[in-house]
Amino acid sequence: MIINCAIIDDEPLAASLLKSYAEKTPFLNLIGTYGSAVEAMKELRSNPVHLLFLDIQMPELSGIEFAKILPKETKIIFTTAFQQYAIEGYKVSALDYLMKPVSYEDFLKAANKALDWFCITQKKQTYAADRFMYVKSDYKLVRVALDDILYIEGLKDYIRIYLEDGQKIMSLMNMKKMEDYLPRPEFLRTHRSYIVHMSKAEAIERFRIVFGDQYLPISDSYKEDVQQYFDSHTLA
Amino acid sequence: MSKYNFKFSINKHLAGACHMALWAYMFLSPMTYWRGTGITLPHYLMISMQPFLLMIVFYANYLYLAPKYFVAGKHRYDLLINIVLITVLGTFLHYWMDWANTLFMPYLTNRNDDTLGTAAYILRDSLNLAVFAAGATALALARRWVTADQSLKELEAARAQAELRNLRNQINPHFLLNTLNNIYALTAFDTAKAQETIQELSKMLRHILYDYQQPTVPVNDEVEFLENYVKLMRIRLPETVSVTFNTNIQSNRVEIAPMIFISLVENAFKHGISPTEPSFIRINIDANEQTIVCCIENSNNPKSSSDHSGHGIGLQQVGRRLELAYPEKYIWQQGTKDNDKIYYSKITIQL
Repeated sequence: MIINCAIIDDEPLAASLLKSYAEKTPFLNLIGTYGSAVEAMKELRSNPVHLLFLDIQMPELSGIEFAKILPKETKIIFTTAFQQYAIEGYKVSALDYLMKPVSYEDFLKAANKALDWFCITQKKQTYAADRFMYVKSDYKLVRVALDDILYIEGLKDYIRIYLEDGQKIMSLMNMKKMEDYLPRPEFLRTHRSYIVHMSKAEAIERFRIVFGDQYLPISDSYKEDVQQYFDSHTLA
Repeated sequence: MSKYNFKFSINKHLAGACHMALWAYMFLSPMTYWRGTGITLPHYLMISMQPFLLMIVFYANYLYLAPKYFVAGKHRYDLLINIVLITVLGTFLHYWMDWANTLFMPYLTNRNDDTLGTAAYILRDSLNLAVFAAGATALALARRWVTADQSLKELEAARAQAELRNLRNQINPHFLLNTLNNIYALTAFDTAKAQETIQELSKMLRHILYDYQQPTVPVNDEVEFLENYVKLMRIRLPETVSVTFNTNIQSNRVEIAPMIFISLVENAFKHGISPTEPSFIRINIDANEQTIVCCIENSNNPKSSSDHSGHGIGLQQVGRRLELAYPEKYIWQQGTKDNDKIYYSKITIQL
């Protein structure tokens, strides 16, 4: 996957350093380098890039202010020399945050984070559209239709997928990754060890979801999302 | 600080001892009569009125009159009070001594009873008192001068402290951090330029650390310092910004109080550069044996209301430093010209 990116920094040297980094990173395609947010605004709003390396402290329009008016599909990695902006940066849901001076190592780490994010997003869209995914199980890739899944159980390094026909598929994967790949809110995490295909749930009790003779717990940390899902599908 | 206190306490003890010795002598000297004429204790006590009155006049002047009137510039008051005091006490002393002599030494026959003789005695006693009054005033003045000198030294120390704080403000940590970050970037593209930049930075820091301690520095040094600052700021700006620095130093013997112009230059960079509009900064420094002129012009780009960097403290500092270093000998003009397109700040110093 190739990520289209742009750089905004009011200091030419900082910008050209980031530019040289972006150019030597194979999966990044640098669309443009801009000296100010004002200069970049027109271009980036009509032709959004995937990823933006954005300096925070700039005259006229700061990086934070600019981030708020960017299209949603553009992900941001902030660059700044000042720690105090970090918290503000995360508030506008930045992917990462680079402290100046930026080393290539730090840059690459942040870029990889972005790559992961975009890969997941892309696959997620594919799975949701095509209604199936392949999972690794016993040295082969097994096709799993999303519509067949009842729920997924997490077992340390493995997951076990429970299908409607009673079949169970074991795969080497962690719950976090699985959760990221599956479309929301069709699939929701209800517990540290469970992801539930919500439309397949037979009943909901106070603290658990019923699948035939199986009772899946709902933990406090995920309660809100689950509650919201049921609320929006409940005849009151 | 502690050094001053130590010195002061020694002075205090020494002064106390001097006072004691003086009055011991004054009171004990009549004892010398004891042997020759067989003076009695009541007689001795009576004639001790003389040193006692001297003591009153002395301390009245030393502790009260001198600090309150003489030092405060009310010399006439001081003189008047002293004349009244001394005349009254002198007259009283004469009659008191006369009485004492009549009581204890009636055999003294050569007493002058006529008015002229009495007046002469009163005058003599009054003059004695007056000498002590004058001495006390002089001593009080001297003591005052010493403490004034001491507080001057303390003031000096406090000023040095303030200067140091000032100095910390001068090395803006953001400037340092930004410059280092730029040097980091430079090392990736242009090692020679990076080295040059590090050298400029180190020269600049050296000037701040050492030269700034001096009351004045050669104008050439100050100009080099400003030049280094400008170069360091320049690498942070796009090529399109025009920065010019012209100097015309006619004599290298000209000295100037350091770090006065730097705040103006900082300001030009802070407010003069726009990311979207064409911008420029022009710095001109002319110096000869009579005058130093520093003129800074920049494109006028008022900062947006959200940009709170700087609070005018820099400019206040410039005013204060000028006032201290060149009272009544400088002109500082600032404002905008060419339809608000150019902001200028010009300082002229008469040497």
